[in-house]
Amino acid sequence: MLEILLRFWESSGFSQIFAFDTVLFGIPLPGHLIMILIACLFLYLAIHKGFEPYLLIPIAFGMLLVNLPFANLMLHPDGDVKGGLLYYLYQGVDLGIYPPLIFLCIGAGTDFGPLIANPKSLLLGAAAQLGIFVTFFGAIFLGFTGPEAASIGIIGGADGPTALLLTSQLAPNLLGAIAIAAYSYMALVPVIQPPIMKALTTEKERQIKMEQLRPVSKTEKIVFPIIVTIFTVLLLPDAAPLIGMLMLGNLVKEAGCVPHLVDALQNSLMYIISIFLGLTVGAKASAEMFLRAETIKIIVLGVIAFSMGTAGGVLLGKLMSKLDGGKTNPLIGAAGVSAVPMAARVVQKEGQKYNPSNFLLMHAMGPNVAGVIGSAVAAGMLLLFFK
Amino acid sequence: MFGENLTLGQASIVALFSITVVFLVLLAISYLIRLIAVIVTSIQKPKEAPAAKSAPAPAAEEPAETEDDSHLVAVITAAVASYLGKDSSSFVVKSITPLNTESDWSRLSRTSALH
Repeated sequence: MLEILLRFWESSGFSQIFAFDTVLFGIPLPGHLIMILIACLFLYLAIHKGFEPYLLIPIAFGMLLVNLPFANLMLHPDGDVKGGLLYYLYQGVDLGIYPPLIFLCIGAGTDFGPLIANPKSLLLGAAAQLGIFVTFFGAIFLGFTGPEAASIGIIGGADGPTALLLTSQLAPNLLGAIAIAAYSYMALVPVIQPPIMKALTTEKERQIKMEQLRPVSKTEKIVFPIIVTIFTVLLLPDAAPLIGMLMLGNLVKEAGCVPHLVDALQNSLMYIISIFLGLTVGAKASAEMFLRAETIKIIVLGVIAFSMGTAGGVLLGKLMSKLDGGKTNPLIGAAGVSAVPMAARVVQKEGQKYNPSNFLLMHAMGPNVAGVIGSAVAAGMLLLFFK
Repeated sequence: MFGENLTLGQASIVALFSITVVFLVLLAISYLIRLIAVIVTSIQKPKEAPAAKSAPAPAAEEPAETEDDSHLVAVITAAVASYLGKDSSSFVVKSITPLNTESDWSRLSRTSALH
């Protein structure tokens, strides 16, 4: 009888959960327990504080599930033994399927009108990618390998699906940490960006009012995704999954003759993919992969990436403002890091703080959507180098 | 293209090359946009002239009173745009006249036809 009880105890997760099986900085720690507590903290932040709940709830629950001992949800199939549920769902990340599908949905919800009306904003979107490459360099300096450094740098693109696609292809062991860093900083854009925007601009520059954008015809909006796809994919075939899907989604929206498709992409498919993506990305944050010194470095590098990206955008905005005689408000450069539409909203709010009659939202949407294209191109470049 | 471990020199080459390509690609796209705009407007211009004349169909002939009606015009323009499913820049509301001649019955039939 006692033996049966002992067997039952050993086969239950409770026997393992307090085991000091994870070593961090030479100290043995109860890794599973710590990860479960972190997962619960994220759930609290998501549900009670409203931090990106659509993503953080599935991510945190994935973390929780994968850290419960013996549940083996991420088990690899071996011979006749079938794999765990999350292992199969994770194939959508591993094979690079979910992130481009998310881009398809994002495309269907994006209006490239402000960008078409003001093509200069594309350059601001490019300048804000500076953070990716500065951080890449910093990560190499800290001893990460090339593919790992590229995946950490892409946090600076401030674009979740791009970061996940690149990391799943180049450094899947860092996926949990990078996803959490990227999405946390995207939620923290209203905290990270304003001090940088303020430090790099003068009061007078922040007050600049911009001219109203010209109206963009429907034909231009329809031709835009087609031409951009042909040009970008011909030049950088590695950017094809992201750019192709983004532009397809946008074409479906602008075509105007398939409203049901647009509705399905913007709502149903978006949420379906988000839950699989979040759950399986969270499931990559097992104790042995997450509780490492690298995670702390990634989190520090991530905030550098975001800040440098913002600085790059604002500084080019300043240069543009100087060149066109003060027509451009340099604040809109900050929206060049993607984080659509949060970064553009931050610009609108900051602009209005210094000049209450200023409406920068539409002007900031240009660099904002340009940032999405920019980070997809940057990801294509990094894939080209390190795949 | 590169191995797992990069020297700082190689890393700076990768970083500089990549940011340059990102800039050039986006610069090229910005010129493509300008090109599209030029081509589209040059194709649409000959068509636009007659379209502008026929577009303000919802407007009546008689001019309204001279009081400031800009708010009313904005509201009616938005309503017409929403009903037609077109952008408000694609037509011009030239004048607005209240129609007092119709009976309640015909007004009812007209509003019900809208729904």
